[in-house]
Amino acid sequence: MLVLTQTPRRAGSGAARDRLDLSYPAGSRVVIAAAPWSAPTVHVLSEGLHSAGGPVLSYDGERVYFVGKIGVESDWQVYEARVGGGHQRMVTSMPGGAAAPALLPDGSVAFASPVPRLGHPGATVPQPQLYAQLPGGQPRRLTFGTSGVADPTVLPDGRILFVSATPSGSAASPRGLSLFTINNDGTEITGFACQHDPPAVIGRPRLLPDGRVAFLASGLESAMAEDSAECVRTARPFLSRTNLLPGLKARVRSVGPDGEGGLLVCAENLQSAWTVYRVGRNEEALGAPLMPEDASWNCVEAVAARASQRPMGRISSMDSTKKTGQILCLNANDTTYKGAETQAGAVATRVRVLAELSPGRCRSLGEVPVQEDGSFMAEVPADTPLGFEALNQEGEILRRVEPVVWVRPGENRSCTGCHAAHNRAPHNHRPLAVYADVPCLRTEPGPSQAQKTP
Amino acid sequence: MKTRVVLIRGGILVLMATVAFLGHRFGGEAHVRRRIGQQPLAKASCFYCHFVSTDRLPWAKPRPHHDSPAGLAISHDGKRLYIALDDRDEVAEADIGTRKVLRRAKVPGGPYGLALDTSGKRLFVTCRQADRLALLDTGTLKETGSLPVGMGPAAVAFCRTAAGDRLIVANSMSDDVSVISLAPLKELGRPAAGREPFAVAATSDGARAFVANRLVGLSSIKTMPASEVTVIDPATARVIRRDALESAHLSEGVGLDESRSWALTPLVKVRNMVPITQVAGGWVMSSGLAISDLKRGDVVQIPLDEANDYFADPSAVAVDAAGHRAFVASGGADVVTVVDLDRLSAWLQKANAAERKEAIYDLSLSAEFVVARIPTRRNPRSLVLSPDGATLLVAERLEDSILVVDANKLVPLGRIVLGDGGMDDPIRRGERMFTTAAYTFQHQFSCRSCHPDGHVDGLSYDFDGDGIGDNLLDNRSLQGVAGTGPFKWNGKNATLEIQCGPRFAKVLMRTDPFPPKQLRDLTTFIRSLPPPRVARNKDGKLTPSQERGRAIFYATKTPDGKEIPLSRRCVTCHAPPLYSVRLPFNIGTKGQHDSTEAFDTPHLLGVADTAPYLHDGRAQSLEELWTIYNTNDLHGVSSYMNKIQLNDLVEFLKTL
Repeated sequence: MLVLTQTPRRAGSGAARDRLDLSYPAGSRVVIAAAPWSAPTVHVLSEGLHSAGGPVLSYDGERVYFVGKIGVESDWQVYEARVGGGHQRMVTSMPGGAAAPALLPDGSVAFASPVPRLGHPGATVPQPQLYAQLPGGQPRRLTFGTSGVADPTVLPDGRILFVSATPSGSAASPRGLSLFTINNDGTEITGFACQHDPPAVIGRPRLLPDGRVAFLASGLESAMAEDSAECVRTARPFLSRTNLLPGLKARVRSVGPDGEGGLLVCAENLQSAWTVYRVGRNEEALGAPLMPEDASWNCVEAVAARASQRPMGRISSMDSTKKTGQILCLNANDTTYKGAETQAGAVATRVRVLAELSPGRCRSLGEVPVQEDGSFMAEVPADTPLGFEALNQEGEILRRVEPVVWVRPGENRSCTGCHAAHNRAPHNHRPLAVYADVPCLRTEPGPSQAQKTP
Repeated sequence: MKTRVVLIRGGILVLMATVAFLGHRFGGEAHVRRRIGQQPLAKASCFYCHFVSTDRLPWAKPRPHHDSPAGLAISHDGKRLYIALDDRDEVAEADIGTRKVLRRAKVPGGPYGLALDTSGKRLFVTCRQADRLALLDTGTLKETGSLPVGMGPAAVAFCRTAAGDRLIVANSMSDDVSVISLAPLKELGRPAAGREPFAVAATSDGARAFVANRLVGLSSIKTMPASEVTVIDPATARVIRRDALESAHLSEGVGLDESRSWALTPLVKVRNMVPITQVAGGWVMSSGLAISDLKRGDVVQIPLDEANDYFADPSAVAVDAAGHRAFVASGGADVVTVVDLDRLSAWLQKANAAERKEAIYDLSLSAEFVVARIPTRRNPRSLVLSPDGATLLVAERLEDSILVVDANKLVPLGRIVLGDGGMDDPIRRGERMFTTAAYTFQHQFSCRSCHPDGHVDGLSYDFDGDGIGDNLLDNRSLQGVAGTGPFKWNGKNATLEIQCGPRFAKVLMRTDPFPPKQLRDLTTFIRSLPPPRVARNKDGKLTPSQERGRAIFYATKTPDGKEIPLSRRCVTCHAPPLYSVRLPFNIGTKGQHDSTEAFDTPHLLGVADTAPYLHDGRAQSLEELWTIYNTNDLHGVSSYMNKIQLNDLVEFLKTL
């Protein structure tokens, strides 16, 4: 069986006000389809909703989560329906709506909220952030960056992979989207892929059985990623980006595993109709459609309706009694920063820590000394977008990271260097910073305090 | 009769509980204070000192035995496989073609490592628990001779030199290598190796033998740890070279690519000096392979992991005779990794010196030379290739089976079944938990990655749960740990279940805690681990030096008749039979970044084998406990001791 998103081939005339309206116009629905694929039987899971889409399956294969809205003016929310049938149930009630559900191993639903207005996520205020919500529980916020986030999915190791804006070196350079990960409590925000690629709109990342991560991509001018299906490898050449299906020339709306080692692809055919294809393990192009073209419906998303391996869980390392976390950098001078090669002999002696306390307003929290081995540590406010500027002896900025990272309360966040490559393990080295007093940087005005935390 | 026993036992329990309650309520603390000569720093239980008997501890009780395959040897015609079954005291012979066990022979003493001579008529067996080498006739599979070797012999290699046939035996517990001539059968020498020599391979011309050592040499958290590959001349029994493996350890195998003059040693690349603030990115440890290049005279470490997935506990390696492929068994990942040596060689030739040095840190590099991962069942720990390179045999130690693999097509052909896997035995189930990396983030490590055989890795770590850079911790042995709780250096974990439960998942595994049933099995296994074996005289008597040391240990007065305060006598805190009263004490070792001055009193069973010492591992040897870190006599009065007295005390401690 497959769970499909079907959009009407003759869409209504209502204007799309947000990204989901564009993806799932009025009348869009989530259905479960069963073989024979030449004439599949279809059962609607989103009955009664104005529109719906974006289905994901629970790990036991019993339930479907999707986004839907009850009226043209209402917000999108996450709904749950049983594969076997029955009325759907609203799971979230987020102001501004919820988008792109993904399932955490503890049963929580992760989603982005609010639903971004048209344009890429960087154009929306307030920026959508990731939340997780246990059944019947309250939503807990997971991301705290300045950029919006979208399209979470959960990796087998339990990390949440999502799309957000690529940090740019200067305000003038165009900002594309790239892939990031966090743990299920929002700790360890880390760049995953595409940070160093040409700017593009990307979306809907999905891990494939062979370890590659597939996603959809379009040019920066696009509102939606659908021009091509691409992928990155996590092995060498590390994070090299390639076409997922070199033989595929059509627009694509979804790619994902079919549960049998191959892919399910929803692509547009020459007649501008969207339908679902099954692509075998070693095939590089679409063959015949899995199902015949439907005169009334486009099939834009397809998910295998079967149980899958539950990802690893994770016990949170947060301490909710704290309002700060600590950062440890092993070597601020270990960098792949593009300008570094022109700064021969330029060694960072201090690091200025920046915080974006309100949208667009960034200020310095203070400077922390860089030890002889390049390491530094600081206690910083939690759940606040943080940036860093590596300074030389003269106070000149050698390298800069805009406020894109954060620490959660009680989190100890570490990195090997500034812009260090993500495929490199640290050297076995005792950083000198652990022997020094730890500067405590605060958001409220006043001198920073140096202390060795107990 | 049965009712009577139950009643008597019940009565004793009620009596003990009453005594415990009354003691605690009406003067228990005073009693403890009188016994230890100071105010106790934690609540004591009566059972810390009373009713203590090692005979009642789980490790002293009989346990089920299993058909766990250890070392393997294959006949020169590729038809027969010899399998050491150390837990059964047996060696088995199997037909590789039919995948059936043909016969078994009793070989007392924990047969572990195997090697055949050139004729294939003699099988040499290291007996790890009996400190001997046994000779078996492969025709009869009967023992024909035996020779004492060093302590804990784990592996043996045969080679033919100009000076005659030689056996090289890696003695894992005495940290040396026995070099043996076969005609006559005698030990020619016992050169010192690194710490815990565990594997050995000799070149076909007999010119070199390579010994892989499992643990790093003595180190502190402030110094770079390193294990070594010891290179020996089999003819002369001399050490030719010691290749340091920086920040690498747990090498349990060594293989030779003679076409390239390479010795290959699997390793765990450890990062104990880095605060454990995360696991992702190989932050705690990663797996690799050391290539000792005899022509270049250098060592390159290469990674076997992938950026988001790890293959923990690489333990054995086999190289095909043509030098095209190496097979590495990863005991924690249940995988055999296939390395294309031609591609690896090409990459190494292309790489500059800096790239070679940095290779092990690049977690994406393995895609250059790792061509396949062959799944196995639980805990592949040793492997061997048929002489024609067509068949790979993998010992699935905790599955009681041998996986037979087509080494060309890299597909499994079947299994030689030795036993039933022992899944009805909680100790065996617990060992499976202990050795699997399935529960850690991205499968980076298992319990065994820090506790090989439940013992120590000789390293200290900086866990971030109590602050980055604070409260450094020496890794303690789990051998003999039953009955010595509370646990953790600050004594805050009352039980092993607490020690290994959610706290462990939070600070180290970075995943969900072990499920309750699995946790119970895991702690059952840990409690079943006996203390490390120690070297004693065969008659059990102490040497004169050990006797003098014993007197010092129990002394109440210094030699000049001065009373030693009760609180500063060895035996007050380290009371037999566990040599611990299980209470924390201030022995003057609080460091600048320690949050407490009171540290748990470790038991001393097998203490000689658990270096380094003190809560943060600052003392690298037993001697240093007193010569460097007891200047104030808080850790027992020792300032009166001269060199000989201190040596005597250390000699006695080595017998515990």
